[in-house]
Amino acid sequence: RDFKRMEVEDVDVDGEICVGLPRKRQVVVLEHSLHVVTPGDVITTDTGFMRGHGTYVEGETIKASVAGVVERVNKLICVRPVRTRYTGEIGDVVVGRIIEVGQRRWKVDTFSRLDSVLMLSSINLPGGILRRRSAEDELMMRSYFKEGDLISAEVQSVFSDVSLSLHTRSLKYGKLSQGCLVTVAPALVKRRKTHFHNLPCGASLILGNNGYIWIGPLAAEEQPITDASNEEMMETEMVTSHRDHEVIARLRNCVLALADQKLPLYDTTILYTYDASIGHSARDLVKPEVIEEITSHARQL
Amino acid sequence: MIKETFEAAILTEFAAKSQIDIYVQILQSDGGNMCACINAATLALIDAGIPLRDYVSSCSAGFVEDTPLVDINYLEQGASGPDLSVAILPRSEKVVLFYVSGFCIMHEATS
Repeated sequence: RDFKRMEVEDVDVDGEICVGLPRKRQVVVLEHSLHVVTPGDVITTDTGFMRGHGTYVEGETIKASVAGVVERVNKLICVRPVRTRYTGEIGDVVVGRIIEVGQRRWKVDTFSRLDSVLMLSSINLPGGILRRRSAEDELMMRSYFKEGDLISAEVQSVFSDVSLSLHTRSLKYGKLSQGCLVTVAPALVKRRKTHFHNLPCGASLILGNNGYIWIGPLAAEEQPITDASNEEMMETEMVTSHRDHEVIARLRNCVLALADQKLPLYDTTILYTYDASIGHSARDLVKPEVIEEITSHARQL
Repeated sequence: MIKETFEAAILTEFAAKSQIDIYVQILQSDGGNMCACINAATLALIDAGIPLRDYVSSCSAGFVEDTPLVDINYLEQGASGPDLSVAILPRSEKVVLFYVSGFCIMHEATS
């Protein structure tokens, strides 16, 4: 009962398994066999291995505790679950929503097991001033970020209880506005060199490693932000054009179509899907047949 | 009861400082509610990627006029016999829930 092998006609290059509706499901032949386990399955009885994530030890056997694929790196065995919350690594770009304003820190929701933390000392003060944060800064915290704001940030470190510490110490991170957030499974966003993309169709895209995707209009030329109040005024006065709204809505549906087909999200796959979707109206992109059609090109990547 | 059942099955040391909420909504029922809830919750936890020791399988049993029955429905539950719900971890062969309501004669219980 160790390996599951499925036979068929189309060979998928990556060995991806399509989990669609039964009538649409295409069985795929896997070039390398995947060791799929469910909770309670014995992975090995060899005592030479170390247990990693997703496993537990009972006596001398290593058993799986989640349903997923077994990964082995030398002597380390771990099980990568198919769908789970985001587990952060240092250097990941994430998009999160501020939940709470606390003492010298903000609590951010990043779809992980525990809320992430954004320390007051980890943000860029407006105007790029470098100074020690004082008591006044603490009182002004709500003017920087308040509950409900969306931010893009990078994971600075991971605490011992697996919660993440974020920072926005770069001009490309910060508050996000005038756009649309799409949530997908974190496993669909792979780690790449850059997560910020300016798409030629006229929108900017941030692929958060935690599965939160931000689609917004193309940023206007960089303007130095002098103070917090000025920034807020600029954002509320900015009116996005109807054309931008359409592009953003279409991109959102394309991202959801790719997520529905369990295809990984890269800027290239999203662009191919967008190009394939031009023929349909943005509203039609939620229909299953249309989803299959527009993701067919992206599937070949 | 579902909470206690899953406390034995979930590996809580991997979910420190967090709370796991299990919500079960019964759409239609013909008896055997608790067993169905436990089975559904097991599948939901596996789908969510929460570390479990093993599957938690649950079934009910009862008695109707000298005939032992498994997976009793609403009518059989209403009959004046015992209603036994058992949940186990199949591979480790451990019982995590053993709930009996009603009373029965000893020889019936052993069968």
